[in-house]
Amino acid sequence: MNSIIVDFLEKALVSDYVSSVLVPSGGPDNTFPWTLISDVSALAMAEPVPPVMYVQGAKALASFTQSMTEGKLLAVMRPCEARAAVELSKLEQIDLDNIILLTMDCPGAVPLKEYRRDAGIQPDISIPETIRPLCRQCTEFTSAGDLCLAMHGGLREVLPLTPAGQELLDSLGMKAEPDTSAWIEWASSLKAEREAVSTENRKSLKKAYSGLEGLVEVFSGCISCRSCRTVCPICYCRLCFIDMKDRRCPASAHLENSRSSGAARVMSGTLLFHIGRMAHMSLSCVSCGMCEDACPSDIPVGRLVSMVSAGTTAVFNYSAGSDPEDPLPLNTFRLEELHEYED
Amino acid sequence: MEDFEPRIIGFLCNWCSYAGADLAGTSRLKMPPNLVPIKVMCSSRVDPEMVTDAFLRGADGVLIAGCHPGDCHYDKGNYYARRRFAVLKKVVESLGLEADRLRLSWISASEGARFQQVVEEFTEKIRKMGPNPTGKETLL
Amino acid sequence: MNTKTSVLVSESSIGDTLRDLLGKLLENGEIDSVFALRETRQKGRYCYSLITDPTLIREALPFHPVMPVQGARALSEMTITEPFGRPVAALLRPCEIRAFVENVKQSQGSLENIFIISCTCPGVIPASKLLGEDREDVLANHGGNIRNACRTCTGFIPGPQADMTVLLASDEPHDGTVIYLNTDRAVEIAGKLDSLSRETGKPAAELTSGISEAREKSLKDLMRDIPAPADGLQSLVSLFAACIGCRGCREACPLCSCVLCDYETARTLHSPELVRSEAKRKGSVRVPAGTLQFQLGRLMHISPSCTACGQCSDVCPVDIPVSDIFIRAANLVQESLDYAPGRDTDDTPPMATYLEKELLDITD
Ligand code: SF4
Ligand code: SF4
Ligand code: SF4
Ligand code: SF4
Ligand code: SF4
Ligand code: FES
Repeated sequence: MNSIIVDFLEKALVSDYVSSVLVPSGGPDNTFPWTLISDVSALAMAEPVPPVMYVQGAKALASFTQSMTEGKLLAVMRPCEARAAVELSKLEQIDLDNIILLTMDCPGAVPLKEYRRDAGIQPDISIPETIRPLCRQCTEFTSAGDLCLAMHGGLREVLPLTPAGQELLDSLGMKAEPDTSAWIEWASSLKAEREAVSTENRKSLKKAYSGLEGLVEVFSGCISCRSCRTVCPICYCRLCFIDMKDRRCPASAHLENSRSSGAARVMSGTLLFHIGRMAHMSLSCVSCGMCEDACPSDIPVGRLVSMVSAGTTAVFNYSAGSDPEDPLPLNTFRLEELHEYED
Repeated sequence: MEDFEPRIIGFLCNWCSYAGADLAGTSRLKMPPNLVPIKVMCSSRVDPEMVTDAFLRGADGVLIAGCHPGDCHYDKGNYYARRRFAVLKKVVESLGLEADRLRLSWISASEGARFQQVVEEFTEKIRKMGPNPTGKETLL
Repeated sequence: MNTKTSVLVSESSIGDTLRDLLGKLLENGEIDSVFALRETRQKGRYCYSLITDPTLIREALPFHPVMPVQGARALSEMTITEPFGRPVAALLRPCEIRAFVENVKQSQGSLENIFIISCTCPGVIPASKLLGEDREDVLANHGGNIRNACRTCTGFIPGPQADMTVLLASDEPHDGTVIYLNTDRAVEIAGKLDSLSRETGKPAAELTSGISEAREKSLKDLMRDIPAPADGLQSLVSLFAACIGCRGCREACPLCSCVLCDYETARTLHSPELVRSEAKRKGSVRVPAGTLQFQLGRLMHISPSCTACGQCSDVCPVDIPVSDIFIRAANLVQESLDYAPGRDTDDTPPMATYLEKELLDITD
């Protein structure tokens, strides 16, 4: 898969249709930093689909594309990263105008901490144990962005998904019109399988950690490092509500909490942070699992946000990252709607 | 729980609901003393995290009240507020917390009686639900 | 250095003695609340708590060998806007006290009404080691499992801000409990606890000289082994290659108390034009840019007051030895500035002052 993509990137760079490429490359100590490449020779280091996710691709992309790019940029990322990029463009953190997103049939990613212990592990789509819990239940594992490298159903082919993707293929003189029926078959059956897994997982997650007791339990190990937020592509605010000065909980407030129950946890605001965060961003969560990978306390924080996201997106029939034209639910409204929430 | 007196936080929009509350007061309508009003300039000023904060600090109920749809002083604020409220409710519900402790009501400046009725009704509902367990949780 | 010899002794274990003592102080109103560790509803996970109910003191875990968050950070959260109005007894490790003293100097907290009970510190266990099922074994082999930072910590006897010091780490194992009374307030409080007897003991430093020597040696090794910027850019790049930019190290560090870190502000962002032109010039650049810039910047900002607690390494999800690097740099920086974080609340922070004639060796 890597070599097909690298060949494609090379063609694109040489053609001058694309002026730079964003792709993970092999770095020291089994790392795969995102690299912005202008020179074809630098593609030698490219590892387009590394076994792990160190930095969410959309986060990397957003770090330098808030304003118009000069010349076209071709970014290779996993489907969840491409979907996050779409969300970020709606949030005005990425200007997608001159950016072409190339995704692939995603094999999943190895949990980061496991990979750091044993860099021999490779993600295998058919062995759930090798990939992250959220990857195991991911239903959007292919066909995001402008182009997608299909690797199943007998294909080894970059397929166009949007006019921008088609235009790139045309300019590279890639005209193949393969038979995609077996591939579509593969995708829909895996999707069905994963949907069942995800429903099941969400159910058991909800059962295990439902209600105040459950939430207190699941977040009891949270050390307020905020890494989940910092690495999340959707959480783009420079200063999060939880860190604002007026959120500070002074000694007297802590004491009041403590008096009402006998004792109060300090470094308060753990649940406020997580619930507040979910209220802010769950609509745009792409279930990429980056937050969970980063959590030093092994809290299933990504699975929880993803579970909540299933509930909030259903209200608006919204699907994060699917359609760049579909407005963010909180940035629009209908005059007649949601009457069951008001009186 | 017989002597349980609910504590309800009310985020009231300045232009309609706060004025409605005022009217209820000046008309000397009898009202349960359980609502602690917080004036906001518009229902859309209420960030879900403000509601969450009140909820987690032990407020037994949280009311957001604003102008009726179409009447928002800032034109569309309350339509956005309604969406945000729906999201918050879903979040709270998905996590198995008591979403019924949260309420969104439209009350105009002339509806003193409606204000009284909403507060009374909500207070009774919360009284039946009992105290918010967040108030007694020591590991929050 | 602690030279006090007046001690309280008890035959019960340290945990029981302290819980008993704290419960009594709460009951008789000497203190209003207790700041201590508790276990949460998940085994092996802990949190700091503010306890006001004397019966809940039974849940307190005095000096349990963990540091879920740096105590100074928790105290700073509570006292940055207002001091405690009534006395609180805070159980803190020496590095937590040092960090809080630094917080206070930088207007990030207040020591008012805080009665500090500390210990000669044997070190804490990295949080990640207690997440597994083998946590009982890990706890039992405490000494073999402590943080790297603790192994090299030579400041394991608390400074003058501690009102009481519990003899926890000592060269010879000891039964029962020994508590040093360091301040007048401690003596006054001890007078009200008739269940404990007063004795004269040897100064804590004398009872821990062996530990001190071992720690000095580990610190020397660290100073020798950890790569310094002088070892070349490549070694630093490799060291931080796996950094995922989670900024957990900064969030956990008690000294990084800025509301908005410099490295989140638009000022330190790399402009899109810059990143793209760098890519053109070099053929390829790493994005997001600024991993090393952040780490070096943080070193610049806090190495004068780094208290060597090791919290930053503890939270790093990719096991970068952050604290080794910071402790090494801090040692060099603090030596050249003749500054010891936490030594004295009245010391001026080194970056907020200067001498007309100093540091002549680095200028010409
Ligand atoms: S909340 Fe977690 S899973 Fe969802 S987008 Fe953010 S990092 Fe990904
Ligand atoms: S990464 Fe984990 S420990 Fe850190 S704030 Fe998020 S949930 Fe809490
Ligand atoms: S905790 Fe580790 S991964 Fe996170 S920013 Fe610090 S060094 Fe990087
Ligand atoms: S840099 Fe690391 S070792 Fe130093 S005070 Fe901060 S958290 Fe502790
Ligand atoms: S790195 Fe510097 S600017 Fe950032 S939080 Fe730490 S001290 Fe503040
Ligand atoms: S001003 Fe009343 S809801 Fe907007």
